Amino acid sequence: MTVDMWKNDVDTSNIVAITNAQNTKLWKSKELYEALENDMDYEIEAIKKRYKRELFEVVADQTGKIFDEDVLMVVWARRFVEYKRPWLLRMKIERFKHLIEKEKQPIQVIWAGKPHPFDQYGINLFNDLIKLCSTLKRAVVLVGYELKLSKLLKRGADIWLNTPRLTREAYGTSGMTAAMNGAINLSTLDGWFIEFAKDGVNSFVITPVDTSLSFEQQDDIDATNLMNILEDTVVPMYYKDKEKWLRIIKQSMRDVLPYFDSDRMLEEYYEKLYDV
Amino acid sequence: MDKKEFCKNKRIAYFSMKLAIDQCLKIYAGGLGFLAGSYLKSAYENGCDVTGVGILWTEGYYDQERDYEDYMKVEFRRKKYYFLKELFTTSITIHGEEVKVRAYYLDPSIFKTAPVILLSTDIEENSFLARTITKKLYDNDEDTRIKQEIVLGIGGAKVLDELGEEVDVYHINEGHAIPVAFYLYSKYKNVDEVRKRLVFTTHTPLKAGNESHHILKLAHLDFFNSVDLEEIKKDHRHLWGWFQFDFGCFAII
Repeated sequence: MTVDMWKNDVDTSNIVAITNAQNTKLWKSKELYEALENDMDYEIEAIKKRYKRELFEVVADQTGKIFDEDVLMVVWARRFVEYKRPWLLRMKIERFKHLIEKEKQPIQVIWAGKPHPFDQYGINLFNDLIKLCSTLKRAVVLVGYELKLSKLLKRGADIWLNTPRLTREAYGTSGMTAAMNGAINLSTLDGWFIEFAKDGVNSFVITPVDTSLSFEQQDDIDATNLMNILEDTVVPMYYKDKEKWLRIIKQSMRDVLPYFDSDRMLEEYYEKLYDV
Repeated sequence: MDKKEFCKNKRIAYFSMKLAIDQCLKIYAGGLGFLAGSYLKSAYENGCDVTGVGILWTEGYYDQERDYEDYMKVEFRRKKYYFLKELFTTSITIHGEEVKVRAYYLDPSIFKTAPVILLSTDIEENSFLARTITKKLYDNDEDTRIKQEIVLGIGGAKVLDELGEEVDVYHINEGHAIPVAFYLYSKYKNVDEVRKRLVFTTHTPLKAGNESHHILKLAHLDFFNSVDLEEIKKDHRHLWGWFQFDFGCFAII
């Protein structure tokens, strides 16, 4: 795709691909990695619960809802733009409400992110979700998605949800740093995720749709698949098969580093890009 | 910091519109800034000779708050950063007007990053219009966005020169700072001299994700640093008309 776009136009520059990455000192949970190295599963669970409590203080402060550290925490947090589809999760509204409201094995949901300040469409999307959440016990929208909140969310998330329409995601770097903090990625297969994902091994993959279909059809299929994954795989595993859940967390932590560490990216910049 | 072997003795200037370095320095919006911030941290930790160049956005992206009914509210507030050191003020030409650009310095010790130069036109010496250039990240006005690119590219390169910084490679993160190419061309009068010093990374290899402006509009705003349009036309006929950013960068570099 990348090269095709310019193939007829440019014969002068040399194009190389260098995979994006994130800095581990800034992002990685050191204590989770220590627990991983020492094979202390119970420690990983305990740390994640503490991270959830830290996040839930912000949730209560901003929204007046008290979340439960034993409930599966799904987070969707990034810029609010159309192609990232913040609304995909609530598209199948009855199924979504059931997941949130049911007494046994429910999910909790947090949305966060900034629409462009002059993009009324994006702001409306954001406000629609606030309105929806006002009727739901276990769903909230947080304001002020900046570095600090981003870190709290990645730490407190069990599922880091990313829903870009296929072929549109430039990168989606938040998934990398979520994995460095013991969150499991659930995403359409786009951006960085193509280079990372092994479905059911280190993450959960929304089966790719036929991109020749209309956006309406693609959105509908992706929304159905997302609900299916949550209902049939993610929720049962989180509540009934902790061992498998932890195995995926650990595999994801192992797979994301060192490849998605920006030290690797920097070194490649020097070797492939700066050596002009 | 021990210098890693791979850094050799190359001196890099890294230009990025957005830099996510720390919570309290609000000069970023999304993934591009997060990437640039990570890069500057890794450069510091590996002892590489990198200088970051960015914009000191007066209002940042914006403050996302809530109104009385809990819905989101956009607030623009002037941010202050007492930890930045004021260096000096230089001037560049934008839209035929002399615009003062003040350079600030973020010391590596503050957030453990490579040193960063941050530029602002929001200073008393400037006209109202010139002051607005570095007020809002992602300004809605096309002309202002082009002017921001001129400040970053030409202003940034000029500040590095005035600081006496020796630069081997100018790295522009996304196409925004491409006017640096025309600054270097004015300096060396030779395309190959520019090419061997300039590299470019894109993270949005999609036509839809790419900015484009008409070349005459760009020229009118002094995007090309007084490089003659005919000269550009001679070497890059295919750039004529709409200057598409990534494509323009590939053609030039």
